[in-house]
Amino acid sequence: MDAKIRKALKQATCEYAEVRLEEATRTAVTYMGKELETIGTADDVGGNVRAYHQGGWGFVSFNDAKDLSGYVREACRQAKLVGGGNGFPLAEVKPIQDEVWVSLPDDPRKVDLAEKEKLMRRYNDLILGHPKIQTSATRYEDVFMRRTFANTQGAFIVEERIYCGTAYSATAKEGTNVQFSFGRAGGTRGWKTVLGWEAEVEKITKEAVDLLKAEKPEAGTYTVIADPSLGGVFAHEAFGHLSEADFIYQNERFKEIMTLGKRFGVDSLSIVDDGSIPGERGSLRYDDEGVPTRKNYLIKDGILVGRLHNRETAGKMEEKVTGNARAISFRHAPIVRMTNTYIEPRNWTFEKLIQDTDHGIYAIDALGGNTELEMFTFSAAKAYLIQDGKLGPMVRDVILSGNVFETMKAIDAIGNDFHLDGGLGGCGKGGQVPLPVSDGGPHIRIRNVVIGGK
Amino acid sequence: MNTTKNMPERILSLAKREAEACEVLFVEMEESPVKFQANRLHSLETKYTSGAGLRIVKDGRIGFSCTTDLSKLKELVVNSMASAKYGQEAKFTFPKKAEKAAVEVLSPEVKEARPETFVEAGRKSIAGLLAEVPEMKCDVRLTRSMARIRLVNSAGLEVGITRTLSHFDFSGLVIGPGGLLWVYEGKSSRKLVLPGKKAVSKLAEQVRLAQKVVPLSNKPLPVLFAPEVMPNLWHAIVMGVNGKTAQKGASPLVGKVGERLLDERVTITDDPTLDWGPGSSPWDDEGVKSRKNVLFEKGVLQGFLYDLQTAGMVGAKSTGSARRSFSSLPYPSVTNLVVKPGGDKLQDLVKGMKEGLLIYGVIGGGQSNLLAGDFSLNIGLGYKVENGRITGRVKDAMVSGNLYALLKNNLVALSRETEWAGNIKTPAVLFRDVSVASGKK
Repeated sequence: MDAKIRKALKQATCEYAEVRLEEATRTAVTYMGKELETIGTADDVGGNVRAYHQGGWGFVSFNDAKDLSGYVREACRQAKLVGGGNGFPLAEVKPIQDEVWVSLPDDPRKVDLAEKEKLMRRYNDLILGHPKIQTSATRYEDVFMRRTFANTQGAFIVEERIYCGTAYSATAKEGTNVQFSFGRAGGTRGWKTVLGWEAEVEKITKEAVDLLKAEKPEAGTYTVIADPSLGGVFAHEAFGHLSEADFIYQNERFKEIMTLGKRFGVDSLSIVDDGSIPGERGSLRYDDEGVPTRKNYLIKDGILVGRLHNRETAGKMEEKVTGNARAISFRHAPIVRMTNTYIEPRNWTFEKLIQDTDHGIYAIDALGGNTELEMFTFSAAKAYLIQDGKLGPMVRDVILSGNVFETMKAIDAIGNDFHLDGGLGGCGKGGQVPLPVSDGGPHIRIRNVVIGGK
Repeated sequence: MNTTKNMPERILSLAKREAEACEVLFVEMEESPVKFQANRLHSLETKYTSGAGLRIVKDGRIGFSCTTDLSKLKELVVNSMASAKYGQEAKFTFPKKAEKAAVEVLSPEVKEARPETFVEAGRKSIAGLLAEVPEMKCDVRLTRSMARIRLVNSAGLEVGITRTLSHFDFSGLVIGPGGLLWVYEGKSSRKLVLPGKKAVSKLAEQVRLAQKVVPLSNKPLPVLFAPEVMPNLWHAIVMGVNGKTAQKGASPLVGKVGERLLDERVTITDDPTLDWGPGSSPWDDEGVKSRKNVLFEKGVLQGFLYDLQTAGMVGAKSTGSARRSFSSLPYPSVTNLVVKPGGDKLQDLVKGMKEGLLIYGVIGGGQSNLLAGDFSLNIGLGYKVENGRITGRVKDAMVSGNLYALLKNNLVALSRETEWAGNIKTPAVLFRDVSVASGKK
């Protein structure tokens, strides 16, 4: 196959071309309520050719690599049709030849399907054991992936990865009141990632039932303590996406907003994206353009210091590549994406954060998060009122929204704890979802957050 | 593609040796997106996909696997057999013969369309909008796709169909007086759809009306949701009428068939037999004839949507609502959701508002407990209406409520005009007393 790839790349008739081949095997077990909805293993093979010519891209994806040379020619034709005139060169990178093999002591591929089913059944039964629980969803997934990357500049990289994780949720119902709670764990550490979550499964089950009795908060403006998961979602969704250079590289006004050196928050605020941490869901050695991943500070000590690039955006903005070109699969061209994104911890204990807040909301994890430019909306998965420095009753349907720049400046206290979280899902952008990522950080306090409600 | 000619039959004959009953879904697809970024043509793409899904019944249990590696058909059979050890008890038999609903799903125009057609349409629409709003940055994505689908089963069913789909997304971004302003238009159809003059003038008008930001206080207001945003709310119904959600007991509609749950002006159907509808098909994805299903008739719940297995589990019949790709088991799903329009012109609904909001775009659909009908949406593009006139844009505000409660008690009117938004055809909807939370004083 290596010789075939090299031969096909010789057919390139434009400035730059690359070939990606991928083999993936996915095993999944899904319980929904009492029923086992999916179980089994499936294979997905395929690849793509991407070509660049004077500012224009061509891209051909396929399942059958038989006519690889033909696909190289087709992608080059497309790129030439698009490009021309105002083109600029891709950022220079050193062409790397490397092989990254997976070797895990507890490789999930060595575990029987029967054992995977049994574990999910155990978690699922724990949820369904509670009388007020209407239904459950319990999922296991492992994905083995081998990607081969080569380009006309001499790069040739093979990288294997194994994702393994679980996600579980409980739905409680009383009349028309339906409430939901969930948990998850996922990464690239192997089978052990999914073991030992019984207590957590019981906890989220009880929380779903407790939510039935919870009231909605009064709509208005609150001080919010966000837990590591919700803080991570904020760092990723609200801020992180604005740091992706493809958002700004063709737009002078966004460049102005995201000018490096500008103050974005208090001195203690630092936000990082780092794909090179081992074991996390967003971890990888090389991105999908063959660039090594690394620790990238986006905000350091309150100041905007960096952004995330692929070779195109780095080339256009004349900055260094960061190792953030990623595609969910061979069916898509890589675009600028995050990896593991987090807020760095500082010195506030959780207890002190709560004690120091007269009136507010402790918001835990996000059911979902969404942003549109500088506006964001997140719905907390769980929340408690904070009254006179103490945790109060549980509240439900806590939806936080606001302007990201104002909200970042309103972060005034940063905790000393730290948690990164990947689960089974991932990030969505440009029609590519889910891309494996992790996000997290410490507990943080944010002033003046708009909460929808009664 | 000669090598794939007998592919579904070859897989079926391999599986027949091992299983009591089996079914193969084989899909070959070609998709060609054309993308513009920041007003410039950025890429042309072609995506070829071919894959097979094998569903079997072994010892009364369902097994499933899929593959895109057509050189490993034996592994596909082995994987589905392994899955059948644990799979659900089969509560259905595969249909023998497929009757076909009369519906147009293959557009020769889409089939034959060249990339140049989309490049041209993209360029023209961007130029048109730039003439009105010179500082606009437009991202446009135009896609044509063609899927050849073959479904065969051991009961003798053999169906084959080619469906086309055309889609565009047009989004424009400007920095206005109140900060960033994002306008959007998108359409999907099995017929050719391109962004034309109508889309351009609509977006330009939306930008013009947003030149002033007006304050908003925290109080319930009448809110007119444009057809473009209604899918965010209708999604509650889409989930609620899903037979699978109902079978799990999770739908708030369980046990309420025959009850009047909504205002009697609300009639909602699911109709896969609409010519060129983005969700249209002569059969569902199990080979059951497509049919129109009434979900709410004058506010009264009529029933749920089922595939074969879900129907079998609850003792109902398939409603021809099975959807799937080759990579998954079938599940019941809405195809084209159609909401019956009302009698008022959208313009007159605006004119009739003393103080209220008109909303064209929201952020964060689907994050609340939407299954229960609860929504909480950040207003992306919304206008304040005072004494029948749009006075400016509202920002940093949220609207929230419960769709079922609003449709029962707070419905003022449905507009006469309807629009397709994705696979939902809906009028604008005006509610009274919707909760509004604003961050700005």
